[in-house]
Amino acid sequence: MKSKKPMPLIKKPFKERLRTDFKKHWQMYLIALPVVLYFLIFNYAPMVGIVMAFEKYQIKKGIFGSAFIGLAHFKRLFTSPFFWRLIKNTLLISFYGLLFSFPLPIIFALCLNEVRNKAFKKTVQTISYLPYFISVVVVVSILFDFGKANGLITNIASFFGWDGGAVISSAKWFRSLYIGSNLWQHLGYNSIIFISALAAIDPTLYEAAKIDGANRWQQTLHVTLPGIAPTIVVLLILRLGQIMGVGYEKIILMYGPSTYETGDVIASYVYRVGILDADYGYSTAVNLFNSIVNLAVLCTANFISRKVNETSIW
Amino acid sequence: MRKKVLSMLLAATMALSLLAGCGKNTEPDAPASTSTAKTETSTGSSTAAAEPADTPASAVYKGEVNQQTYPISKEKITLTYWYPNASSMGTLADYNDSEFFQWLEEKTNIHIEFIVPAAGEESTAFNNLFITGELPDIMYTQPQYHMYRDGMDAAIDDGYIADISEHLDWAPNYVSWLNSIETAKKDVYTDSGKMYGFWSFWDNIEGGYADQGLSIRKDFLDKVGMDVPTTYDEWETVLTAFKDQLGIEAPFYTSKKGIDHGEFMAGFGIAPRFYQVDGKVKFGPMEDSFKDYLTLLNDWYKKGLLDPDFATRKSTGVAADNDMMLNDKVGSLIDWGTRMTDAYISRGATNPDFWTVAAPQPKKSASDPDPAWREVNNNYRDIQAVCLVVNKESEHLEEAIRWIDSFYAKDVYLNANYGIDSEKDIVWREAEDGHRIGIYDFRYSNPDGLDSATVAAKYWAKNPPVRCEASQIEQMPPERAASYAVWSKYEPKNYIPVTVTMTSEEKAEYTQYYTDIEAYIEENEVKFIKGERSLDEYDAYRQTLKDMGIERCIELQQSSLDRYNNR
Repeated sequence: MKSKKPMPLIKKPFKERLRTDFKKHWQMYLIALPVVLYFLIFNYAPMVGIVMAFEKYQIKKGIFGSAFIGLAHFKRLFTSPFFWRLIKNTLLISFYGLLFSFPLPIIFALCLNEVRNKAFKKTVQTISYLPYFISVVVVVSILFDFGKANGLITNIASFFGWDGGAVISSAKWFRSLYIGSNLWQHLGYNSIIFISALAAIDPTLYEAAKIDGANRWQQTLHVTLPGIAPTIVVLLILRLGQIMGVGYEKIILMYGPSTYETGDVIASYVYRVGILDADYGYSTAVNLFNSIVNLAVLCTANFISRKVNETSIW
Repeated sequence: MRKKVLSMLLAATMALSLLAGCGKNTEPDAPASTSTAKTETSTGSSTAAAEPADTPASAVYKGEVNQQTYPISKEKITLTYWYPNASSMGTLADYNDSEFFQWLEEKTNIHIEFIVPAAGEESTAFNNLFITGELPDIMYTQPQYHMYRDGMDAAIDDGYIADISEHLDWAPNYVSWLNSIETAKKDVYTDSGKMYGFWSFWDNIEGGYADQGLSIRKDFLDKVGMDVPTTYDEWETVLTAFKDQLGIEAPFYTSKKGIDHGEFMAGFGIAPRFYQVDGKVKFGPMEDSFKDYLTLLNDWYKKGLLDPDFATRKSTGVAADNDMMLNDKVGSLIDWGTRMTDAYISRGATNPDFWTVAAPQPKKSASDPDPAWREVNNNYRDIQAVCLVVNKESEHLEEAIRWIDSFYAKDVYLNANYGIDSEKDIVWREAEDGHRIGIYDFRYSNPDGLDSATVAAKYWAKNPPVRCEASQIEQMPPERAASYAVWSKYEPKNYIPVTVTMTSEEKAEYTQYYTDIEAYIEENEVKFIKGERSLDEYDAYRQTLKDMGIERCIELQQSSLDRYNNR
């Protein structure tokens, strides 16, 4: 915004500019309207409910009538014996998830990109993303079946010296099973976006590289990867923004008293106190805390990314 | 500058959408204002024990004569009925397909629209009724699982649930029961002298039945040549034989929590959670014997006598996974009386010898006195742990109350328990003295090929407010009926009645501690049993429970029990 010359015209007030702009482009505004409404109604309006985090919420008195109790819910959360464990579990599941399920789709896409046989490529791609369409309930049922005392995974684990019984009810195995099955289910689907980014790389760049004597590996390193780097970074930042947001659906399907130790995350805790015990004020507070941490991680990641490689989501 | 503002805005939008995305549990706009009109009484101010209103007298004994006039409504009306019995429907699509409810609709001129929440989601669904503010006219509740968060008194004070004591003139049949059972009044009135709803009774049985208990496969016992075990040592011998000689996968089946409901541990003088001894509240896991009990289970787990996969079973309550039962993978379990032998056969048990019998609560040594019955299920007493409550704002309050009251009249509850009048000699028959007996073959080898659960749902009402357990027992072959006698021989004491209630302040403080405690206990009990945590650490474990506030929870339980005892 550093303009050398002074402004030629006095800027019109915002209202007026909006009005003229609206007259000129009203169709655009119309197109945007449903999305804006969607966010207002489903994402902004419900945020009023956040005040419940500071209230002794009673259904009868409602959001605006319940007694204000300040930070009592947060105090309860921070002094809860489960607090650090919840944070640790949430972060670890996210972190390991990121570690494996983020790079693997990229590698998969790169490998697939090198395949010359069109039919083979398409077949592999289709098969790989088929599991995506399986309901998570079914996936977890399969896990339970394979993970019981004489199930497939337990037997394989026993072969390699495991002697702790059913892997599905073992706290030590929870993360591996959770992330492993996630990977199986989402690998193909998550690679689609990279495959399309790969397709968008200008073929002349490869030709130029070839003329310069680059072999396939060098082409990948110096043409392909830089070509999809912006996609990777943006997706990575978005993933980081969800680092505290381990979904509760699969967790509550999978965990049990025997796996709370590694499987209980903030979202499942919120589910237990909020939905099962109807402790709405407290669960709102826990979730609010979770969201704030999330936001902080997202901002930090974005900040670093902007400084380091000038790609960022804002 | 502008770019920055824009980026800030974008960031905010993203963050907020994330927030909103995660925030499925935040309850937006609870429409509390819609029903706030009347009672502005603050919740929980009902600590002071008010004088219970006098129950009107009644000349009728236990609803022998129906004092309602029919039809209840001149015009056909529809009442909504929250009926959390999805797992009892068998293959029925709608409870209106039940002959009994069709008959009742004709009699009362009231159509019932059943709202049946998904199995396993009942508690959540019940909480949600209050949030949406759309309470059905009538709700069938099991107060242990379905309870307004702030308690019974608060549910009435907050204007959700009708105080039945104000409307007893519409419920003459219920009143006749209250007058006929000496001890009932203590249970049906809350601490502040209100009536939360219509509690369920047993027909003709003082003190009721234990309708669930330990059950063991008799055909397996015969194969290994042993008798029904009575001490823990005998149990171990039997379970070992099941495992070694018959290769049973789960010689003793427990729910995913690993511990039973109190039947099996009673011999150690403890209960799973809260119980009372002479008016003093105790908490099982804090007692020394609890460690001994877990030591036993840990030993059995190591020896393979427990279900190796118990921790991953879906069941958190009574009864085993169906497919495990039907395929001979379970040697013994906690089960319902109605489920024994033939129920499994009609559900498709493959083994023609399938036969389960009741086992007594085991003792440490044969010379020990019988343990008390102290199970968490509260059915074995004068009233059952089922209460029908009415929406205070119901458009048809009177009709709803009269409809429920009908169930307390003999002509209605007989039909509800045995099948309607016109089904005589098909679904039920008359004994020599004129009372009804269900026809066994109709239920368990149904001519239409229905399984026993579907027969029950189609011809009777599921657990009606007056339950004739005789309808189940009398028709059974003697060896099956014997289970009730085995389970019911223990003195029903030491349990904490379901009608003991906390004030909303007590409840709030209690949940604050107890939610985490319960999770911690469940987790650690499984670990102790599986040997993932050494029992040497039991004292440290108890210390953690203390740090988490268990002693305060016991105090709160104690004060509510004291109030109950002073009613």
